[in-house]
Amino acid sequence: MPKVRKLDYAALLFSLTVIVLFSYNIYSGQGEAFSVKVESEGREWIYPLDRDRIIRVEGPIGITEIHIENNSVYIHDSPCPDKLCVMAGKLDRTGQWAACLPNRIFVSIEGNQDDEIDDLNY
Amino acid sequence: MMKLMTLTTEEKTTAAVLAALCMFLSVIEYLIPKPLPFMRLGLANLPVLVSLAVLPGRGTVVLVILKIMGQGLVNGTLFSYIFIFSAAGSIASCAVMISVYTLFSGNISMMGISVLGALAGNMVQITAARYIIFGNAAYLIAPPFLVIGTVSALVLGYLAEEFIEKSEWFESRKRAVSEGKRAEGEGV
Repeated sequence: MPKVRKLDYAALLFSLTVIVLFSYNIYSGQGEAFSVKVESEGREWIYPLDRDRIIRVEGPIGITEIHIENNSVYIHDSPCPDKLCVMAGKLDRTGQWAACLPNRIFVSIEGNQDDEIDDLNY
Repeated sequence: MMKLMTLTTEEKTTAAVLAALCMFLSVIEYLIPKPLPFMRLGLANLPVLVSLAVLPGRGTVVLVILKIMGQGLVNGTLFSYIFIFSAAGSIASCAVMISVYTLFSGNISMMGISVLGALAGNMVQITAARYIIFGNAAYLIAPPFLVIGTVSALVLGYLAEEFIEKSEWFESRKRAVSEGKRAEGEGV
């Protein structure tokens, strides 16, 4: 059995740290935050994240008001009883989302992936 | 400069045998089915690790160049873009392994060196894949690729340590190299 030296542990630790940080960056979002996607009962809208606006979307129980402000988006008001979507707060990174389930509204941030692959062959 | 790249006859012989071993292991690796194209074991890195303990840094560089060519031949990728990836990865990992071995030899075993080398090589390959063809999708396969690379590097490092410790061929090579160096040193 070869002897494990102390810097071996350091090397392994270093590698694992790099891998974890790298993976975290990858899975926490592709590309930079770019657009806002709003979905409601099978309908879908996409808005640019860098232009402030107020979006009113009608769902089964009323109108949900979504604000886009300073490169972030949040649900300002919704007719749901628990207001969980409002409490979700501001979204500003790719992959973040907020949903108002009673009103069937889903808001998420998408990255600017322009170079997705269509097909791969080996 | 010329002096820097010269190897003694014994060193050249050792590099050549290790390069042949690299090629043989590339064939073995080629035979093992892979679930995904980039999930490799990196068996051919074993001779490179072993070479650190017997050859001077420039000998390992020569070996790695031979290994890159040999692998290109065996896998049939010598004239394809995949060759760029494997060449870039091998060079990066070789540079890191030689540096780490030179700086910390004695405090780190082949296992640690192998893990760091694999990390460097794989990161370079992923980056190359990202910018040359696959785009951001390359990053998506990166985490499993890096994890598998680390595990296989640990195993290879272990095997390399065992080899260095137990192989009689390695012992005799090591002796021949050091004697050869003395003899040619006196000759010049």
